Amino acid sequence: MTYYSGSLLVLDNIDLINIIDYNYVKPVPSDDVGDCTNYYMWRSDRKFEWVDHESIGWGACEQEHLNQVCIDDSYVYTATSMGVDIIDVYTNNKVSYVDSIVEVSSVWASEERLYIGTAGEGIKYIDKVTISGNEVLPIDLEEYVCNYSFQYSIDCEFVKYIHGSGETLSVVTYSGINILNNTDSIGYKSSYTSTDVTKCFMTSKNELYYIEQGEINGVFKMKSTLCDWTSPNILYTSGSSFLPGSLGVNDIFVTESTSSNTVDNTLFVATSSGAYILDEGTANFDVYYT
Amino acid sequence: MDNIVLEGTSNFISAIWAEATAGLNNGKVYVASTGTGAALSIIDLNTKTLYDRYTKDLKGRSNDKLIQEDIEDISA
Repeated sequence: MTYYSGSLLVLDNIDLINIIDYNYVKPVPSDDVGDCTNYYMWRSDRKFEWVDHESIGWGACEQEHLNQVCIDDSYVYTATSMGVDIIDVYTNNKVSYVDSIVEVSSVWASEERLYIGTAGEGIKYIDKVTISGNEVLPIDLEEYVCNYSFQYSIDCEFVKYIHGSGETLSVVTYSGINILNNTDSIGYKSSYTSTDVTKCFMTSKNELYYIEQGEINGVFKMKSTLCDWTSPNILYTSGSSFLPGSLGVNDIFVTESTSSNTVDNTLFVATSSGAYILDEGTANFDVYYT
Repeated sequence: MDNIVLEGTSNFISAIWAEATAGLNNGKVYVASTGTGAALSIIDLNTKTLYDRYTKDLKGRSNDKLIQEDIEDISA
């Protein structure tokens, strides 16, 4: 490490750093700064300056990145780059957490379990009856975390998104979609291989909607989880459906039996250019913009 | 039909959520845009008008503002 006493610092030729206050003491591991450990910093008489290093980013602490949230009657569950936080919906305070899982990509709560999708460690879950704690003393739920390791499991440990219905999971991974049911003796697994799937939504009738972003962009629907994946029941592709061409699809949501015919569903689509709402029964749709 | 009612200036919609009974012409939908000019817009689908909105500068009905404009997800 090479440094000058002036206002510039060259750090192993990796980065050029302007130090506003060069009256530093010395670089030290920041063990005494809250939960931030193993980061090197320059410390001045008046303020801290953080050293930019090839393996360490700027910032007082490694910043959590929020990936996804889900909610039930009691808690908000957050999937973050540093684990899972569980927040009481009434007090808005964190009451428990899991920080032993690195890079949680997705969470989904059934009636009984919180399912946790990870980037590299597959799926884990926590039985919701074990969730407790309060804002004064949030509880680490690490001991209650279980691996989703049953007869039917995912094909790829890198999970992008989880949704489901009851104890049937629909899991988007870096290799495609796995539908998993491991209940009693009627379990099954259904799989679709594609690296372009980004998210999914499963209804209470086990209809599956999923987003593909790649050679073909759009929303696809399977009316059953045991299906011929080569032939989706319904395709809403950009440019040949209610979705215009060159449109990116970012998120979907489905309400069931809400068509004007009281039978079919309504599909809500977040896109790169507006919000689209489709009555699947009548094919009528609206678009909302700024 | 096109409805120009969303708050903010960003049409990049990152997240969407709706009431369980919402359809094309009833209920409420929650629409989150992201990036500069981001907003959380709550649309009354009966009237197709803005029921509530939140930005970094504007407080909504709950007397809160957005902390940041990079909205990732909604759940309600």
